[in-house]
Amino acid sequence: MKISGLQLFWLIVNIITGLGILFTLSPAIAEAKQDAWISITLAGIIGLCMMFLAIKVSLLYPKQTFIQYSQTILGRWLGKILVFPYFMMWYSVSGIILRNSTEFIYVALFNETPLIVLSIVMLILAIYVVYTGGLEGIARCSELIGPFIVLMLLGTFVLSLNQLDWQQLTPVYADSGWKSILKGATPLVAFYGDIILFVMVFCFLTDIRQVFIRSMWGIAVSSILTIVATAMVIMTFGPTLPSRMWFPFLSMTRFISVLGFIENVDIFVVIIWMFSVFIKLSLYLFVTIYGTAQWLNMKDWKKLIWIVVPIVFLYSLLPRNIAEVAVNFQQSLIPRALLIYVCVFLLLLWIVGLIRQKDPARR
Amino acid sequence: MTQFRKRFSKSSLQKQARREVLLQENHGHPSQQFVADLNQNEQAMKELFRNCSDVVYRPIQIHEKKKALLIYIDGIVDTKSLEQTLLMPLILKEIPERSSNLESFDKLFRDQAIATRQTKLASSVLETVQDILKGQVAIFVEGENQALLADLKEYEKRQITEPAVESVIRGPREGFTESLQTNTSLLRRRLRSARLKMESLTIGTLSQTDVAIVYIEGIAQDSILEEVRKRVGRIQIDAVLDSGFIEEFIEDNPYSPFPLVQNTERPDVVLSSLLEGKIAIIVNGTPFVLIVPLTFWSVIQAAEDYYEHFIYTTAIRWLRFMLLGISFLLPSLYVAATTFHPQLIPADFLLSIAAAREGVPFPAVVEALLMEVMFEALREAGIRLPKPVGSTVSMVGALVIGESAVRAGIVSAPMVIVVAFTGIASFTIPRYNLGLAFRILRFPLLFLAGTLGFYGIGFGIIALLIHLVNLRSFGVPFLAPVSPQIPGNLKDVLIRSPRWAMNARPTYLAGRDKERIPKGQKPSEKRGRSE
Repeated sequence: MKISGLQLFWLIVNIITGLGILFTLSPAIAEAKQDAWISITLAGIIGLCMMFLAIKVSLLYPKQTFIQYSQTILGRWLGKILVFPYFMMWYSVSGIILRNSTEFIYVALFNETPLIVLSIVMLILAIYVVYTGGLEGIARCSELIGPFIVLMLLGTFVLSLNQLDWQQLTPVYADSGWKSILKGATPLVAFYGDIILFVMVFCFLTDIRQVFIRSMWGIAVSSILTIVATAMVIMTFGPTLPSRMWFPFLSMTRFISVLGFIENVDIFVVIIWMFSVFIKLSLYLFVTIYGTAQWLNMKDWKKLIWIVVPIVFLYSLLPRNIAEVAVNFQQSLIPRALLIYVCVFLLLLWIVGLIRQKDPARR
Repeated sequence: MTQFRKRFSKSSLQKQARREVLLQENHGHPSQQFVADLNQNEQAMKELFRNCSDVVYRPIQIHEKKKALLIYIDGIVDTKSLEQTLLMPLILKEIPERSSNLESFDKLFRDQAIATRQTKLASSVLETVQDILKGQVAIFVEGENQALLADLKEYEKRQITEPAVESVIRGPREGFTESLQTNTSLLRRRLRSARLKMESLTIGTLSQTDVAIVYIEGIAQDSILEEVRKRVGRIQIDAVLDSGFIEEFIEDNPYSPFPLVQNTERPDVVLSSLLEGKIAIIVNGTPFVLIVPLTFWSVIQAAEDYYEHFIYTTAIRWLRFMLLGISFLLPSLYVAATTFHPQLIPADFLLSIAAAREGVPFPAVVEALLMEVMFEALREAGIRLPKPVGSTVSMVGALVIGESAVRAGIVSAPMVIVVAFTGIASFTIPRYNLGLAFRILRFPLLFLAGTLGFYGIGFGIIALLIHLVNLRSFGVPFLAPVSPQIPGNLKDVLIRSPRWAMNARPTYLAGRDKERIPKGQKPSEKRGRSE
């Protein structure tokens, strides 16, 4: 299993752009009003910092995954215990992605098909790619799907141009203030837990020297796309309306009307989104499975699919409705505490690792 | 595990033994040798060739002194040169006295008497029999325990004609024939280089079919070549009647609907593949030459693309991409849109579809399946039917299915249009066997569209994607050079670059010799003047 630098780039773009635009715009606009795009920019910068941290830590031991080098740095038992919250995050986020995406499909396409059917269909795809292709298969798929997602976004941007009202973006800063802008950044930052996922991926790179530039570009491109999407949503609907929508970007694509012929294109957007969800879910599943296997010192990680997938599936059934998934999960305490722990722990690992590598006696 | 291995090795030993038994049944015991007695040798040969009425035994007297016997198979030996180069010199011409044993006979034949392509001596029965079966003439002489084999192979061949499957408007019109020699000559004539290598081997315990592995030294990658040799070399089969027999043994993933080996009837296609670093396998007895490895993107590359102007070709490629998508997706999209997502269709159009569908007793997915099956039936009938009844089928197809079925209200007119367009689109795929894969996969996709609408189509596409991404042909990823993306190799996928811009061979295929066309050959007025 090896992936190329370009594949890493597309993985990052796929994973962060798709669902980020879908789920974070509404809360961001609710907080920061017409300045939400500033919040998103801010979140992008924070994302770059997190990616920087993740890369720096991983480069200490470029041949090892996160689970392995945390044990190398902290010792076997301490390393094993302290990474436990990561698994909490990965398992729960996998479940949430599954639920989120199927809720989205449910709202956007089907109102009569049972949710479980949609979930299972998605899970079958994820199992198929994880089992037959592993990370390499996921990366290759994302390499093919990624350009389509970007093209779809750009196409939506272009087709929406005729509805834009630049006045909606003004006044800048006056209505919100830095506090709300910061608050508006939190939903997207919460999404950037995905960035931490890549600590498990970097060691599969064929050419580790590319890791920095490719990852940073990945975050940058997806941030820019999200910023433009936010700005366009605000310019289309104004600062208040989007905060009451589940999926403001999807509503924007529903508004597209060119020559009275290109209309109702939202379905294509939904399908391409499904591709993005598929990549994200499979990568999460892969990392969860592979990480668990390494944590348990299992050689044959593929066997764990049949244990991890049911857990994730059951977890995805827990939330009662879409409000609980989309609002409560992202804004409740535990996920945020986990995210903070995850980042602080990485920082700690970096510092300890640096000290250990500098200390000749410990080598 | 060890037990398994033991069983495995045992069974392969058994196979080996069985193979030897088969060989003996056909061609005598491998260790059997000729003796110095002509009658005994004749008896031995007659015993092996009993009930073979096409074997000719021609006793002669060499300059009326020594008895000799010619054995050959009627019809695969050139009779005219047999008379002129063997019979006449042996019977009529005086042969010097010193040629008392066959060793010097042989020398004489080679130097003076026999003007055949190849001669050799054989003492084993097995070898002799096999050579006779290949069209050589065996000469036994009284008192000699060896046979002289003279190559006079000559048999009926089909003329070189234009290939039926891959026709072009512009470009060479010669196609391969059933004869291996003709085919290799077609290649050699176009590529006069000693680096064009043809390794020959024989496959088939009964058929003894000649197979040639063709490549260009330095351009083909050694690892791929080694893999080809290995996979072709280990085939154990009774007879090879077409290159398809070989293909099924050397595929990477036998259960994939996608072919991982390309076949062609065109020498220019083979050569352009060889020049990219691919390897061809020519099988005697079939005009279809195999080319490995095959990548997915050749589905939109036709031979003619490289002979016509590149702008036109690029446009045609895009058209083919679109038509490929249509041939795969259109019926499913139509079913999904009309069944689950009518909001997608513009209102006026939707109304006309609804009006047309009024009175149709089936749901859209059943209607689509019905029409697809009917279309496939027509197509199949078109291939199988005896030529004189061709017009009947097309009449029935056009009238009954196109006209009456709609009028009777069994199917709706838009569905007929959709299915017909899908069918036409599927004919535009230049690689017939890759087109077959999409033809088959259309049906499961139709089911998915009928049950889950666009979500089902998305499911189908992603599942297909995962499958394609995991496929490999002789170690080369099936979707290369797009996934994994190999920089600098995209000049022949979405676009067809002009000849002078395709400077390098595909890096994922080619071996040592990577440069194809030196840079800086872009033609321009200026360049012409300065020189």
